[in-house]
Amino acid sequence: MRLKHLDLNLIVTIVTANIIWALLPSHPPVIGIVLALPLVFLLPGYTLTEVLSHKRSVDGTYRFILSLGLSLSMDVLSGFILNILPLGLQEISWVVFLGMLTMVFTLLVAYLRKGSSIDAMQLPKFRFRKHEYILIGLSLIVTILSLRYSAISVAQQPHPGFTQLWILPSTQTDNTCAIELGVHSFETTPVKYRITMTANSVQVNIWSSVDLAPQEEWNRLVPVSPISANNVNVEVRLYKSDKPEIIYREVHMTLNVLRESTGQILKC
Amino acid sequence: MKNQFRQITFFQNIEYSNDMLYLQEESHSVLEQQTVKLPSIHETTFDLPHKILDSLPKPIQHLLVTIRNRVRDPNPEVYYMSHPNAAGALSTTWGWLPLLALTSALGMLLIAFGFANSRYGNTELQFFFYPGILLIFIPPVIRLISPSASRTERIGLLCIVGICCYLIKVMSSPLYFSSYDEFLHWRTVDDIARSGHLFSENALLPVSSYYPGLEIVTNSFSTVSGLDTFHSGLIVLGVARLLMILTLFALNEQILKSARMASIATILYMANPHFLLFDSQFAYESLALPLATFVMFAMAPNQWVSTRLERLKPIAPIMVFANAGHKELNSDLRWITLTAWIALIAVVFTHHVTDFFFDALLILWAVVYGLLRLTPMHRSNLTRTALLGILITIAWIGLRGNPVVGYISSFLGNAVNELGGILTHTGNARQLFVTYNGQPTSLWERVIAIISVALILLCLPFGLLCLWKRYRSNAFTSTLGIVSLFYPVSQVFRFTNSGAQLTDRAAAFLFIPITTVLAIFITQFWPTRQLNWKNSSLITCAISVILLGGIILGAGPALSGLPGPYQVGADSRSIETEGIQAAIWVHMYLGSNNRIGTDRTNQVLMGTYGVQRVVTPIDDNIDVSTIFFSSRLGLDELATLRSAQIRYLIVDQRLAQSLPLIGFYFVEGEPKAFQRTAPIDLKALTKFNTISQINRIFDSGDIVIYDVGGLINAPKTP
Repeated sequence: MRLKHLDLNLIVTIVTANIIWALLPSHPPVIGIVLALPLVFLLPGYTLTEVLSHKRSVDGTYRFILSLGLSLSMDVLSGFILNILPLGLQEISWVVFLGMLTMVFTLLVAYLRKGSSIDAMQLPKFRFRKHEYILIGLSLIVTILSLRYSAISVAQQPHPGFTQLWILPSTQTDNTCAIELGVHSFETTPVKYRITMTANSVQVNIWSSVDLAPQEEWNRLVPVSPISANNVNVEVRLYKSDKPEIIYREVHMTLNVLRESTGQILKC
Repeated sequence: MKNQFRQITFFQNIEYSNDMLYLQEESHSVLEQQTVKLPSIHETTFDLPHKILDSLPKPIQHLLVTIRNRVRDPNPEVYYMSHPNAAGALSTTWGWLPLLALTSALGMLLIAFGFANSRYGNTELQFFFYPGILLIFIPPVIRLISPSASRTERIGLLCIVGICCYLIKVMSSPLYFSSYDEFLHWRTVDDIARSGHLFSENALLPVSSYYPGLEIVTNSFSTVSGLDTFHSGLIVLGVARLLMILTLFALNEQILKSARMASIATILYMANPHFLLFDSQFAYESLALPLATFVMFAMAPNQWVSTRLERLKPIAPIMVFANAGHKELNSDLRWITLTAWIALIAVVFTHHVTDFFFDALLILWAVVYGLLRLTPMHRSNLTRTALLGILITIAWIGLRGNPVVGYISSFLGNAVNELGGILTHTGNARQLFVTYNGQPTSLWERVIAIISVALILLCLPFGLLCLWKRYRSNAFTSTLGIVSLFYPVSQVFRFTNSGAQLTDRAAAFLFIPITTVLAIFITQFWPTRQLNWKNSSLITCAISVILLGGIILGAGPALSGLPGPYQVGADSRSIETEGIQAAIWVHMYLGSNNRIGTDRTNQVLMGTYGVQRVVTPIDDNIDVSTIFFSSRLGLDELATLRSAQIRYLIVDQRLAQSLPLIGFYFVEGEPKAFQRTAPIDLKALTKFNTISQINRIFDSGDIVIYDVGGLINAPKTP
């Protein structure tokens, strides 16, 4: 391969790799990121810049700016074009569209470069001395450490523990009444709970010892048997075992019971 | 020597690159002015008549003469070969960059430590934050002021400082979106990902669906890479930030023809109050601003190319060389225009305010260009570009359902009305440097912020004078000078409640011209040949004050925009686990797109984590706040519930703990917004417990969810 088409060869390789990657069933994200970065942010703009600046020598920094700016702009415009298509903005449509756009410009560049004496973009040479490499390396390490430290501090940010208690009506196939109860602990330590349930102020259920570790959830489907009333008011209270007299959480719900003239439940 | 001041143009066409070599020795020539010979301006524009000058006291005479000499200096950037540092300036080495990269990284570490401390409830954030900021900025500023740094080193340093600033925002919330505006756009990205198409309804910010540029790019990267929305957003914004810094540098380099001046202008831009946090957040302006700057960068060589073209036109048919040059320039002009147009269209689809601002700038630029009579206005590419921008903007505004006019006009209307009230003494001015829940900014921070604004206001006239003397023949530079005059006007809105953010938001745009003017001022008044450590220290101190002032203004009173413990109605500081988990529960157990009524913080959590259809005044024209403020659920509140078709009410009982930091709990237009003296009554928030038709279905301590479907017979989903 001729050296002056090295950049174009690289572009074709990246586009092809992206298309193959999109067709694969599983995607480890790291490789996906490495492949997507140039396809989304650089290649469409770079190839268009090469087409437009044919026979001109463009400053390296300016070429990079043009590549970035045009790529981002073309991404935005591509989104509108993809929106018109039935497939819409999906992985495969993005890869194919951006890949096609890049390939068209690449072919144009290859055609324009035929017989031209101007070589492809000269990549900037990062000539650092040994101690400069060390300093740059240290800077990167400190930067990564700072980001990591921030992430850890957010994850471990102290917040008061809490517990979610909920009640939801449950649709039964046999027209009986039931409710769905749930408790989810976000406390910082394991907690023992007591749960009481009343229907029209009559205690119908009690769970005297529900032990939940942090992040653990407890669910129950509880049948409710309305004897005579048309409405059943279900109240559920949650107590912590260390403070058994104080209501920690409370939910309530009214179930509307629709009966036949015979008294049989039609709908709950 | 030539290389140091070589004009790095958009394209370095071999044929005319020799013409474009920028020699300081010829800086007063036509070439340096980039266009035609300056129209003759009578020299008394700045010179006072001798009679008046003589009548003034000697020190003032001396001062005026010094200013005159500085302003007139044709070669402030001359850097003699005999200077001991000359070799460094001409080299392409990285110079001090590796060391300064390390100091900047250490600055970041300090800030990370400060943020972590603040999250744990300690109050010493400022003891780590400000030293960290200074460590990131000051060493590069010193280096950028120095004439000895190479162009490569300058670009590298600017990228490091700019990216560090961006990473500070990332460190403030490295695991999830936390700024209020970020949630609004996250919902749009998620809607695009779910439906595969644009223009889904976003009740949190309806206008966001019609300006989906940022969301499209994020969706593109997210789907292609397989990364989630949050991390994809971080990468998109990082790329946008890099583009902003490089474009700003290149733009200034093209018009000022000096890498040193361009780097000073770019680092000064980082002092704008929105650079550190607001324009680093996942919101449309963060992408639109770099793209708009890119349009200006692309159009900057237009004047040079057009005037050359005009000059070659008469001789092109008869001279072979001129004909070739004419064709070449024509091709250049087409390239410039095409590049600018692609980016301009992208700006229109990305952010309305940025689009309107840059359309106005383009019009002004075209008018100034016309006034300079460089080329016929109707044939000017600038006029065509401005017209294209306006046409697409109008067409997009006219798109069915685009709510942008109502959105912008209500915001501006409120700000102007409030300002009118203050000026006519019928309304009260906002108390500066205090949050609405009474947290004050420390005295030294207030002083720095005021000095920073005062410094800019003080330096602007001198900078404009220098611009007039040296750069007025360049239409773009003159346009920048005119636009910078809006800065003092924008400061007035600081005293209003609803318009206060207008001042800082305008700064993101106005700082582009302001920093160019200030860079001209700095280089004219402290020319490189007279630059010593005293002068450098003075400039560094001034830039540092402007920078710190900008950060203080941008971070909000008492640094409330930075990480810290939970606070009521404090946007990013109100985002915490209990609210997020409640929203996730709603999505998991109640399904998506139920109509929800809740406070500002839970609106964004329910709209994003919960995927719910939040009822908002901006989309539904219904203010649900009265339902929560009222001591009892009366007929009016019931009517509101019914007309809004609300199925679930989310009540955050913490609202009753304190006043909201941002001045309101639910929406800006709620009763007593910005003027509340006592928190919302807890009894008002808990009144729903005793109403038989309302089911209390969820309780997590602070957050309670009520099902009001039975009360209003609302459908489960819209």
